[in-house]
Amino acid sequence: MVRRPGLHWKVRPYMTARGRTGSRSPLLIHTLVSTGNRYDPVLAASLAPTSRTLYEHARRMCSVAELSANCGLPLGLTRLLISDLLKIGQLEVHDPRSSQDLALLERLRAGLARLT
Amino acid sequence: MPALPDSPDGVRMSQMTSAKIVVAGGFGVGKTTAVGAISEIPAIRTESWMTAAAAQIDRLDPGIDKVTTTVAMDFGRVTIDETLVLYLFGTPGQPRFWPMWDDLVRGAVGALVLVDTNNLANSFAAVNYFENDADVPWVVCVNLFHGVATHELSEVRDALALPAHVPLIAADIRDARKVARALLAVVDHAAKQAIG
Repeated sequence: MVRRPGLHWKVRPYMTARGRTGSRSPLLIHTLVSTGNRYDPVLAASLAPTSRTLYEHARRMCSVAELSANCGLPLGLTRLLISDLLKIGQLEVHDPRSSQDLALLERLRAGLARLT
Repeated sequence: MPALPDSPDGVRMSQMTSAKIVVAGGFGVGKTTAVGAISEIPAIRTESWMTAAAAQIDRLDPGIDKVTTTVAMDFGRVTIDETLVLYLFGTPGQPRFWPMWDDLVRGAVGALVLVDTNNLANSFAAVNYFENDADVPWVVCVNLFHGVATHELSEVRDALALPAHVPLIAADIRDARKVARALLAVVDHAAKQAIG
């Protein structure tokens, strides 16, 4: 089987990133990411170290920004590695609600009001 | 760092969603303080957007903290309810990092722009950015550094040449409850704009 080296998730991050600048719909810095309930230790062991670190950190749901900070990776690379794991179906993304959504704004109001 | 609560409830997990408010303003105006005051996790300082060019500039003086903070973004987290998390992001303060503001602001509910009445000019750039270059609702907040207002809000509005439709408030942002109130003002303003 011939693989396109640039798309294989086992190659080094700088190889992974080469020639690509974007992913699917852009991952926002506050988008929540997790492995869902299908964390796979065999897959984890097979990943390149950087991807593996990211995959392990995503066992607990957190934002793209938190993953970047916790893994010590630049934001751009974090996004690329997340989209690679998304492509092989190993991560879940919880897209944020539209910031214009009145129901969302009302929930924010209620939550913040409790803190005042 | 504590992560979001691990929920065995798959339905609730799949409903988890997030929102974002940006805390902007000039360097030293209290963005980190505001984020840290209300965040349930220690405010995280990360150098996420640091570019090679910036790295060369900033690493000339590795011992000076001030240099590091200018290239960093700070962020914090507030759990709003069982399935909604609010993230707060402080903007990097220096002009050379403004292109990154677009990335930071994309998808935000709104922005809180902090100003220091002793150094208004410090926040001109942030005010200018939200007035001209961004498309999110924004509220300006005078940081009452010692809990004391040194200027009338109307004077501040004039000095910043703030349009009448932009709300202007004052808060001692060291106090979590007052930060919550300021963020509430942002959400209220966003709701008004959403209704049109």
